[in-house]
Amino acid sequence: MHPIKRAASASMSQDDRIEKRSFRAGLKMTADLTEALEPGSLVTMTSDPTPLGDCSHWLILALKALAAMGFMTAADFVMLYAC
Amino acid sequence: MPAERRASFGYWHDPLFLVALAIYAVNRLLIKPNLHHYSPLFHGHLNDTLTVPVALPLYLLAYRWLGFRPDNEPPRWWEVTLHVAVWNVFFKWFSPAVLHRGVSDPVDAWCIAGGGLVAWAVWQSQRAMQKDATGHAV
Repeated sequence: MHPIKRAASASMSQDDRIEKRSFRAGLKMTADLTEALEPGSLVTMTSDPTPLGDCSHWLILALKALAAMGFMTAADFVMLYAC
Repeated sequence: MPAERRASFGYWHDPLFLVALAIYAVNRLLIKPNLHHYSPLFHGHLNDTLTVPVALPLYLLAYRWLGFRPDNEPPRWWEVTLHVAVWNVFFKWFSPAVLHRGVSDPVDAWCIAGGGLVAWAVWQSQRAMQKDATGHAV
């Protein structure tokens, strides 16, 4: 075979292999994702998609911020009058 | 032990906090009662300079107990800045203007900020030393 043709053929088969490999990797990723999104899996357990879940998260955060501000105000008054 | 152990802040047993608290106690209990004349340093500026190193660790400990602080890292720059800003507004504006307690002296505001800056630098250097020690130990 002519050297140029041989090189072209080798290059094509290499491209082919890369394409096959990336296709297999894509399939595996899709399978992993599908498995992760199934009910009861780690992803669905940790992220609560309901609006109530988001609300409770923000409510707890707001309560913590309120408690921190309350503590800060009280401690500032203690520092002002006692120190 | 993991190679990169996180630096841990001591809060109430932090060395800078203990030193600053000792200075404050000596000033409050020994120096101030025995001064016969008003001294701007011992009656005002020293306490203001010690505000951040003495008060901030206790505030951060309370936030940690409340679950508002996620880790035990040394005080971050924005934590120091936020508290300095709030204390300056509270002690140097709100307290003299609304509660008629204390005086509004701009030098005091600079003392609180300067003390905060020095304390932050010391806490960061402690953190760097802890990390170095951990790195060498591994």
